[in-house]
Amino acid sequence: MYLSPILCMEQIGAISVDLRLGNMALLVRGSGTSHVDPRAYAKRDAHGTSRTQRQKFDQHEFMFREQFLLHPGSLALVPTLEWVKLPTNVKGVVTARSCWAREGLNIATANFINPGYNGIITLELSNLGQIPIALFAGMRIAQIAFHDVTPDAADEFAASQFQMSFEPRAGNIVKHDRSFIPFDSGNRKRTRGKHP
Amino acid sequence: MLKPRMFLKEECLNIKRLLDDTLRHAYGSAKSEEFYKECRARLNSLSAQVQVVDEANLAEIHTLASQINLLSDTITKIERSHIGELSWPFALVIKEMALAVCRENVKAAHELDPLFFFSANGGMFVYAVFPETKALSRRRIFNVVFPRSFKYQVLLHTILGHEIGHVAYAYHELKHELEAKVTTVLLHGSPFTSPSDLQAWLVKTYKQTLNGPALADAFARWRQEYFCDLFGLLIMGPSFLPAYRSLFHLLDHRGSRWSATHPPTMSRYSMLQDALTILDWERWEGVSHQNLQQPLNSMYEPMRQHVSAIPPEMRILDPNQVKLATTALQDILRRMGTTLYAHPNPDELNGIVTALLNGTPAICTKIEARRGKSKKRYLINEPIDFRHILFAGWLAIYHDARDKDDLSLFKINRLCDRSILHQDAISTWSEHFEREPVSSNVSN
Repeated sequence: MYLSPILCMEQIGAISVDLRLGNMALLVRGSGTSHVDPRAYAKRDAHGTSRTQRQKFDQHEFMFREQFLLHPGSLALVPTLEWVKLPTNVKGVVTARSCWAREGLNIATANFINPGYNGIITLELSNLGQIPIALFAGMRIAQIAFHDVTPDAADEFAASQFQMSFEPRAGNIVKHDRSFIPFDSGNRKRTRGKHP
Repeated sequence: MLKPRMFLKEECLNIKRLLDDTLRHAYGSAKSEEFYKECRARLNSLSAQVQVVDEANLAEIHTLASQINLLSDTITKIERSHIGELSWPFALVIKEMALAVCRENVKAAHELDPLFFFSANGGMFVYAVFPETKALSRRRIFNVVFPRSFKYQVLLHTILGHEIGHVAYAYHELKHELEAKVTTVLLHGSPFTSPSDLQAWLVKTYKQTLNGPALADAFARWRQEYFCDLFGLLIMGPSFLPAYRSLFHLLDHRGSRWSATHPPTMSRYSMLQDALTILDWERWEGVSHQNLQQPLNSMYEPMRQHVSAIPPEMRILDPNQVKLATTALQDILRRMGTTLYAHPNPDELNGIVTALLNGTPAICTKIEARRGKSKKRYLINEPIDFRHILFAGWLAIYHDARDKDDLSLFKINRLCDRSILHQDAISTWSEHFEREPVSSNVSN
């Protein structure tokens, strides 16, 4: 297993290791997209798909000791400072640190890290409180615990679409679910009986 | 037509608006306040001169117009410099290195340090540092330019070592010392000891000539280029060479092309190979380390072969003079903090190479048990010189064990970039570390 850097012993707990905020944030651009539309992800048009995904977020990079404000109701995708590499028989579970949760900072959803994962961990931060929260790169905001799983589970299942991530990015919400997305007739022909 | 003085007064007001507009943007690797204050001071000075200049004094008005133009250009470039366009962890380490060179010369308070801003430009060969040779106000502003498409190609960024050489030359006193102790020694006995010798060499080798001012200009520039190559090698270490060759080979694969600003690349390769031999980097003890032996050979061998094929007329510099100049420059660089490159411990280098080949950034943390009764463990974060990370990055690229499908050049560059970022985190942590009061009862 690899987890680096660890800046102080206090980062290592009895059953978990604290994770620090990295130096980038993807914030949803209010003017970029009217709503989340799976069809935008399913389009075969490379320009349109890429444009939709890129314009959805504003990308902010900030150095250490520079402030980043997360406003109430905002969602930010941020990387951990740490790089994590898990063996194929260990999964990671990421949760918020409770001291931050009490301030309204929520780390949403996707908190399982696949066995065999290698890269930064993307945290989905949201501010559930009523006032903005100032964050600084390097602060401990999350924690990861490790669990043994059936040996070599990673070999058995498809690798995560986020394997070896260097920075946060939007996922593909329609991956393997395209059958359920009604496309515009001009974009794609219906292929009955075949996986698109 | 607007009267020139009135025009300039109006332009000063425009630049004031432009300067205020720059505050809308997040600045790069320096705070906006320093740039704002410096540019504001320059603008105030120019505005005051425009107020009193005699309308009939066209020469003075032209001088002022030129300075106002330059200020407008500088502010616009600062406004466009954007942290998201370049690897800022790398920009920070380069800035620190350049500052160490500048501080050596200007023994003043740090408030008078030059200001560096970083901007990205199109094209692969745009690496440059544009130093102001004379400060218009109290502080000089230097523009460091990266190729935009190379945002994360930190292994190629080592070429900026050459550009920092130009920064050193921008300071009159330091330039004087470098000329006397390094450049003149380096080029002693070569065709570049006088403009007439250069002209004779150009005629003999290329059957070409340069006219008076162009010859004098080429003479000064070529000398500086040789110096900057040696400077780049000594401050960046071995990773300077593959970056240098990668870029120059694309520019001029034969290496025989010359211009009024740059001497033929072949002659520069030859000088660098001599320096490499003198520095004993090829026969370094690390070569005996099994995991390093193969990539080190793969990195150095193409350069050796390339240089061995260089014709005698392009082996312009005497290896003995290269040796003397290298020693002299090493002595000067030792005065500038950690500017002079020093080889890593082979085990440390091997550890970084192994980490990169495993698809992870360099490891710098060790957790060890305390001796004695205490069962507490303690943590050691060994600082890693960013140049060792880059050296390891190149060795990982040349390593036979690299799975080229899985671990692309891009990924190795990004892992090195990430390693440099981690070093910045460790430095920031150590620099500002304060023991917290033991009063908090909040867990997790």
